[in-house]
Amino acid sequence: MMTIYIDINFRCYISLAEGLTAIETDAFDDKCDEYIEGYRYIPAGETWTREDGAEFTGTMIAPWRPWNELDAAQREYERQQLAEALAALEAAITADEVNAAMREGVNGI
Amino acid sequence: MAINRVDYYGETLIDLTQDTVTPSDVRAGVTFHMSTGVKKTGSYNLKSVIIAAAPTGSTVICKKNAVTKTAAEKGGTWTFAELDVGTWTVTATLGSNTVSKTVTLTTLGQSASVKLEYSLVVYSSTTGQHLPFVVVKGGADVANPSLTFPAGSLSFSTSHAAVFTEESYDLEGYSTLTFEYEDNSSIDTQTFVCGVALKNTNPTATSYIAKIIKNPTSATKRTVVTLDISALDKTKKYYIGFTKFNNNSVVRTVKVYDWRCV
Repeated sequence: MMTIYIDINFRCYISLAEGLTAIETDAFDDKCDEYIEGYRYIPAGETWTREDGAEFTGTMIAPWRPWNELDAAQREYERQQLAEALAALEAAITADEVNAAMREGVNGI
Repeated sequence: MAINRVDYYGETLIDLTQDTVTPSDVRAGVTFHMSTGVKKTGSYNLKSVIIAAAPTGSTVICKKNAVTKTAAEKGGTWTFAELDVGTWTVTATLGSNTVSKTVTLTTLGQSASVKLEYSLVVYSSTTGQHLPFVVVKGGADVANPSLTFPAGSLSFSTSHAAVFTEESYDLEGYSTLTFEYEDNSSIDTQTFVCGVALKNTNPTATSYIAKIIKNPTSATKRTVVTLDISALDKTKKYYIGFTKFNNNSVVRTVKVYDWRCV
């Protein structure tokens, strides 16, 4: 569950700014900022009218930016997350190894 | 003798000599004077116009009997001019999608508009037309999910489960998914989700890229929900589905009346 913010056209933002409304939702859990800000979130009971006159009533969660761009941003975000996790794991292993070596050294004296 | 210029004491009162009007410029039956001063009757037959709106990238033609008119797209509109009265068939084509509408012009000079939208029928209780479906269980405890076609409507009875199209579809040219349905259990207050997904194996709400979510406080009467799918990646194919959630063993039923992308 996270807090997002929507403007009068129901477009999502990750930061609060003037004129935006806060929404609590789990629809974007684990999603990157760019992905979230490419979506439109219409809360229950609200209606959005598209440029061609078509009306959509909430709750609706749908991309307003080309979804392939959002998908690419999300995949890149997940690759970075994975790389950071692997780096952290490598660092942890190294520290453990150093500690083990130090203990071996002490035991050897 | 025809007169095309009148001078009076050195002042020109009227001069038609430089006029360029011809009979074809003047509506049929209306009289005028040529630059020579000769009185003529116009021959121009006023024509009508059809302005067609269709998804951008389409090829649109306008046809009446053996006459076929073409036009170039300008921002999702095609203007067919110089049309006679009568019934014209306007056809838009984009890839494998085709849609036609007829427009009847009754008077010369009339301007008519027509909007063409492609329609992918997922299910229609009126015609019985439907795409192949799969039923997806929401967990091991789901009992007897079933998908049947009684009395011209699609019934889906189970606890937590979903219905997806068996195959994925190219949704290029479609901008809206419409779903007319009914949650016909009097105690049915569990979440209903309808949308499009990249997989047809996961019935959870997170699997939908674009979705409508309904959390009814009582049984939902026959209603239509719409979903904006205009920004979906046109290079991918999508499964179309709906999920009915449950938190107990009560059997849920969702009746579908009409389900399509337009």
